[in-house]
Amino acid sequence: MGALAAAIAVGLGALGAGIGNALIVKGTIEGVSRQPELRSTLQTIMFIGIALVEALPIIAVVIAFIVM
Amino acid sequence: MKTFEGIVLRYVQLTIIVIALYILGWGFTPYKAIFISLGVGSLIGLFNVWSMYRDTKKVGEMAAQQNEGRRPILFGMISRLATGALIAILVIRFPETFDLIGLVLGIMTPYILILFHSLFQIKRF
Repeated sequence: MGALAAAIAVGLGALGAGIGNALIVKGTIEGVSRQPELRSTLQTIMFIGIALVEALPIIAVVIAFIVM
Repeated sequence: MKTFEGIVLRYVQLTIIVIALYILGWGFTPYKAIFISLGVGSLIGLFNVWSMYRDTKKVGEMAAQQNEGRRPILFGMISRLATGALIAILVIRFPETFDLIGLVLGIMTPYILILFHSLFQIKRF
């Protein structure tokens, strides 16, 4: 049961992080393609977005390994 | 607004300042396990920040079509999630040295600094 709980925690966390990162990168690439001069600003916003999206899945991985 | 590299450098500087405070706490307080966990977790968090900076820079170059013909190697999310596994391994392997809450808060230190710094930037504008 511990292994199953760990797998569910990691899987759902990675799924959420993957979808979130994909949306962020999609928006960034579209923005940079339209306005290359705003690349630095859009990269900064992308960086902040990725940091916020990936924070909780990292904690989920820690909890998953502890439970396992 | 400042450049992307300048802002990431600011995040790294803030994290190093906080790590110095953690080391002072480890040296001058009786809570050595907690502060060493915070320090080690923050160092692992710095690796995550560098990984995110590298990937963001590569994505920006690809989007601006400055990387034609070459497929860049991205560390991706897997290496950053693997740092969470590293923390769990440290806690399981060295339970007398490291504290779980300290390590988790340590790895979250750069992320918390990024959040508050961005909130202050938004408030300024």
